Amino acid sequence: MRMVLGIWMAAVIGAAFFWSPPLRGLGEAGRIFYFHVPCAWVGTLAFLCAAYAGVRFLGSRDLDWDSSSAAAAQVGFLFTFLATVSGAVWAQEAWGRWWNWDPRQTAILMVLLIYGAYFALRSSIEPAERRASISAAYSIIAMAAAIFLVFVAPRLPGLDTLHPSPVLPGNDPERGIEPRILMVLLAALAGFTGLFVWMWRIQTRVDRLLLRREQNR
Amino acid sequence: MTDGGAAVTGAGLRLQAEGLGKRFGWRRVFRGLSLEAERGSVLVVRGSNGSGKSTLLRILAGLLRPTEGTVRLETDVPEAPPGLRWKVALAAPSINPYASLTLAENIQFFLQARGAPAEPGQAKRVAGLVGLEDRLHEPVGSFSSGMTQRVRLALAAAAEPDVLLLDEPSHCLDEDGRRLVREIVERQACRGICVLATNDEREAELGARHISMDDYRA
Amino acid sequence: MREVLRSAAAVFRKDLRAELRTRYAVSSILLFALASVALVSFALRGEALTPRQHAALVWVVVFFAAATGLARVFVQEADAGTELLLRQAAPPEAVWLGKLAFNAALLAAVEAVVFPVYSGLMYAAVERPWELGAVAALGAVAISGCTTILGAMVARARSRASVFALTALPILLPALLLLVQASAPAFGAGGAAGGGREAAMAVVSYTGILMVLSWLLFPAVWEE
Repeated sequence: MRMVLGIWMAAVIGAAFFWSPPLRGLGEAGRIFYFHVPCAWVGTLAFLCAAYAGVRFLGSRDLDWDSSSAAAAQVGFLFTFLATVSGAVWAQEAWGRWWNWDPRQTAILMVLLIYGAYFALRSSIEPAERRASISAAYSIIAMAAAIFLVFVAPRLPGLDTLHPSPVLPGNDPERGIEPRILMVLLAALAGFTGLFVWMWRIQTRVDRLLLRREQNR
Repeated sequence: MTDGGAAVTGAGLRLQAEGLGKRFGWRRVFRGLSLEAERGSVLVVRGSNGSGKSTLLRILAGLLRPTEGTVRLETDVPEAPPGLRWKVALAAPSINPYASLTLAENIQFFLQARGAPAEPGQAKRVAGLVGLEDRLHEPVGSFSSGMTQRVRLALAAAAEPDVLLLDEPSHCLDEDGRRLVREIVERQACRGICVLATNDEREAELGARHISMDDYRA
Repeated sequence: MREVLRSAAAVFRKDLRAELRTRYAVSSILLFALASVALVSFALRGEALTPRQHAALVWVVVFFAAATGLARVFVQEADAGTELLLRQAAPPEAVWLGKLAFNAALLAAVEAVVFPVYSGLMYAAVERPWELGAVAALGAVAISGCTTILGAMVARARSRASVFALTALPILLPALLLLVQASAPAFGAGGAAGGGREAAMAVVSYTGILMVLSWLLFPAVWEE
C-alpha cells in the first residue's frame, strides 16, 4: 500500500510540474493549485471522519473510536494548515493580497479555528471518558457549523464586496476545464486522500497505544 | 446500564445489581459487585475510605455509568416518568443545595422540576421532616453544616423515591439529627428500599443487611 | 414533552431567582460590555463610521460579552457542588432548555443596555430602532442557542473561560456574520432591500439546526 501510494504521488507531482499546462492567467505559479485544493479537501474530509468516529464512540462507548477521532483531527489539522498557507500564497500571487475574506478563505479559516478549539477542548479535560464524549459532541456541532458556512458564505454579499476575486478560484475561468488539468487534479485528490487514510491509520494506532498505556498504569 | 421500566410484574419492588464494576481511567475502584434488595430492605454499605461506597451509591442512583454490570429496578408504580432516575434519590455530603435560594425555594424547585404538582404547604411539610420549619424562608447559604445536611436529607426524602440512597447521612449531625435520620430510614423501609453508606457504627445498626466494599476490591 | 417543558421552566425560574438575588452575572457581563464600548468610543474619538461598521462593532462587543458570561450557568453548578442535585431534579433536555432560556434572557438584558449606550457614545444613528431591537432579540436567542451546550462542556474543564471562548468562536462565526448583515439596514445601510431580512432568516435556520443537534447531544455531555 505504501509503495503504491509513493509511486502514485511521485507521478502526480511529476505531472503537476511537467505534464499539465500552466493554469490560464496564473502562469507557473498556478501549479500550487494541485497542492492547495487537495489539502483543503483532505482537511475537510478529515474533520468529517473525526465527527463520524465521534458518533461511533457515542454509540459504542468504546474509547478506541475516540482515539480514531482524535487521530483524524490531528492529521486533518496539518492538511488544513497547509491549505490555508498555500491558499494565502496563491492569493498573493494571483491577486496581490495574502488575505481577502472571500468565502473560501473564510471557510478554511473557520475550519482551522474549529480544529484549534477541538484540541484546546481535548487538552483541558482529564478523564478519558468525559473527554471522549465532549470531543465527540463538539466535533459534530462544529461540523454542522462548518458545512453551513461553506454553503451559505458565498451568498453573503458582505464577504465579497471589496474584492475582484475570480468566481471560483480553482476552476479555469474560461469555458470548461482543460482535460489534462482535470486529470491531474483528480489524480492529486485521490493521492492526497490515500495519504490521509494512511496517515490516519498510523496515528490511530499511536493514539490507541497511548490510551492503553494511560489506562493500564 | 438498563433502566427499570414500569414492569407490571406484581413483584412489588426489587432493586437488582449484577456484576457492577467501576474504573476511573487506570484506577479500578471495585468489581464484581452484585446485590439484591426488596421492599422493606435497609442495606448498609461499609468499607474503608476510597473503597467506592459513594461511587456505588451514585451508580445505583443512575448518576454514574458503571464500567461493567447492570442495575435494574422493578417497580409496579407506572405513573412515574420512565427511567431509573425518577424512582431513586441520593443524599450525599458532596451534593449541595442552592445557597442563594431559601429552603422553601430549594424544595419547590426540586419537587417541581421532578414533576410533582405545586401544592400549598408542601415546602413546610418537607421542612418539617427535618425540623427546619422555622427556617423556611432563609437562604440555605446561611445555614450551619448540620442544618445543610438536614436540607440534603429533606430534599431526597421529599422526592418520595422507591429507593432512597443515603451517603453518610449523620455527617455533621447532632443527636437530634441522628434521631431524624433513623426516622427517615424507618419511614423509607415501610414504603421502599433504603441503602446507607457509612463507616459510623451507630449508623450501621440502622440496617440488617451489610455489604462490605472491601470484598470487591479489584 | 410537557414534563420536560415544566421541568425546564422550573430550572429557568431557579436560575433567574438566584441571579436576581446576587446580580453577579449580569453586572459582570454588563461592566465588561460597557467598558468595551467606552474603549471603542475613546479610540475612535467621534470618527464617522459607516452603518456596516457600526453593526460589526456592536456585535463584536456582544460576542465578547457572551464569551465572558454565558458559561456561568454551568460553571456555577459545578463549583457550588449543586450539579448532582440538578441532575436528580430535571431531565437533561429540561436542563438544557432552562439554561438556554436563562442565557437568552441574560444576553437580551445586556443588549438592552449596550445597544443604546453604543448608539449614544458612537453617534451611531439608528434609523429603524424597532428593527434593530428585533435583530438584537434574535441574536440573543441565536447566541444562547448555539453556545449553551458549550458551557456544559467546559464546566469541569481546566481554564474554562478561555476554552469556552475558543470553542464558541467558530460556532458563532456564521451567526455573527449574518447578524451584522441583518442589523446593518437598521443602522442606515443602503443596498439591496430585504438583504437584512434574508440574513435574519439564515440566522433562524442556522440556530435551528444547531439547537436540534444540541438537544440530541446534550445528554451525552451532561451525563456521566
